Amino acid sequence: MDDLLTVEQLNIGFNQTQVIKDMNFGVKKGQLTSFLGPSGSGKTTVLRAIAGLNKHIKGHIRLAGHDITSLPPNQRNIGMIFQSYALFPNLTVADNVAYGLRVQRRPKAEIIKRVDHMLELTDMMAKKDAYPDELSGGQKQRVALARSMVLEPQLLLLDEPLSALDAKIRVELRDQIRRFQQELGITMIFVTHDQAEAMAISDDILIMNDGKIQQQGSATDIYERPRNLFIAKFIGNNNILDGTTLRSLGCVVNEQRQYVIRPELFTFDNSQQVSLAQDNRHSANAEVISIPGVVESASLLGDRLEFTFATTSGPRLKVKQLNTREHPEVAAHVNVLLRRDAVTPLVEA
Amino acid sequence: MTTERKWSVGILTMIAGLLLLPILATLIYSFATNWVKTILPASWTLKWYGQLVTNSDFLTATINSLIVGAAAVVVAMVIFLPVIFYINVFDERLKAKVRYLMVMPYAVPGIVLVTGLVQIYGNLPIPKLIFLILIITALSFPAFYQSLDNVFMSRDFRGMFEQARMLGERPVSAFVHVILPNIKTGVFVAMLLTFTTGFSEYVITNIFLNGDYETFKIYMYRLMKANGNANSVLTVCYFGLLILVAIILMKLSGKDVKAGK
Repeated sequence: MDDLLTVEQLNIGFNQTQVIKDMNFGVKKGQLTSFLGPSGSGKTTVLRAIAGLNKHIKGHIRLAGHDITSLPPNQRNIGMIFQSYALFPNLTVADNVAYGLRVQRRPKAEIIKRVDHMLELTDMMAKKDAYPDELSGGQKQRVALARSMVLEPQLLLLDEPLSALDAKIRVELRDQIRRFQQELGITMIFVTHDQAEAMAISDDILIMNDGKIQQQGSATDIYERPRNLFIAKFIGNNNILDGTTLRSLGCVVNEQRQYVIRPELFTFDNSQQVSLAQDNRHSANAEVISIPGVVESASLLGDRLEFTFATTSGPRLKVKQLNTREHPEVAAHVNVLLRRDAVTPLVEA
Repeated sequence: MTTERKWSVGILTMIAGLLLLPILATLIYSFATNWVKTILPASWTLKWYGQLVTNSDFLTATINSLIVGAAAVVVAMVIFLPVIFYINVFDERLKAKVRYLMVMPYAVPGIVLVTGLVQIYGNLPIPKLIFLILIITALSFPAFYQSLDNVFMSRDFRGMFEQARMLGERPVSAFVHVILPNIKTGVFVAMLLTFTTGFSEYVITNIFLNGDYETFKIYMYRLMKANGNANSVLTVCYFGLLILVAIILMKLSGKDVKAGK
């Protein structure tokens, strides 16, 4: 699949500080790509550069093969949804949605038809004549979506569109955004600092930190094979262990490297005694390693439980299990089982 | 009504009474033939109004003041409004510097200010009226800025402006179509305060133009020495004019936005 958007050698600086450093990436047509990273990582800065709202840039931004680097925002055919919704308070919902079409001087009949269609799609028809201050946060964001989508932009940018909403509405609207994207075939870039949000709806994720792309790939790629220590710490609640420590637990690994083990890949082995497990700990051929220790603490996370497991040989492990009520008690001496292929080496330090 | 509420209403009524009583007395005095020892005037007349309206000095002073006030509003709208928009929307760090500017008109006494102005601009071959308008506009900056600053802080105007740009607007049309309709209330207050500053200015106008340009306030001061009743009429006219201008500006800025409900 071809890249609709390509960013080459993007550098952005403010007041002598280099915020974005030699960034290169592509966004595939018809996909939802997320920029994921902590605050200050440069996600919004890059998004604003793509929108044309940031003038202090070096490098090239191409949309469908055309260099748009020097074009003003109104000539890029790119839509944008802001975190604050940015609805126009003096206009009704219908007038807000019609705004861009009126700027384009579309015929009145076409404007009415397209606005009505978009209000139906976003389930905002009943609030057509309401003013923005009469709407809830979720409704405001749906109007903002309708206002941008009605123009059928080549690319739609969403700058943390859900961050001001409560948890339940967030999930509902997140799924709606994904549905709109797939039904209308819009190419979207979605900025978020919430990894669960990014993984739930994205075809492709760019992890950013310190003005650089740390890893680009599918949610599965990034979750199962984090490239470096930053991603391993940022995504999930991983166990990050060096080779020496892993060897002390019975894994045959390179002592010079660092490894990641996802907490849900451990299982408690209630059927065996600690002493029996010791036998195959150092067997290089064992597919499953049994690690003895004590359950130090357990936290209920709703559908899952998170344990701190103190191994007999020293290191503490994070272990996550489904809350099936068949789990060891705190202070119980048990073994955890770990498949050898669950130990993932980090490519970069 | 609670005791606290009664106290609040009582104090507010007293303040309102304190402010309104002189205006009411001036209004009554402007219709009085003679008002010395009685609670209300002994007899009533429209003579003072007739005399004033037919006086060419009154008309000239009114027009002169209207010119200064209106010109100050136009200059402030053209120069200050875009600057205040820029500061609030794109460069909030400048706000700290603007605060120094806002204090200056209050920190420098009028007489010191006008002496300096005469020294610097008095001998330049440019009509002094233009300088006067620019000076009065500058003096109205604190009031103009504060009226708009409060409005700009109430919403995400940067987001709205940028959204309009993303929807296809050019910068100027985005400002006119999206920003202006949503800052109407602030613009109205800013215009009214600037107009009032220009219309009622006395010290700078009198000294800087050396009495050659008689404004409403200068005429009022001259009349006060000659005829108390006529001066009351002038004061009533002054209030009437300001109320009229306020109504006109309110009409011009249209009905308030729904957002302000």
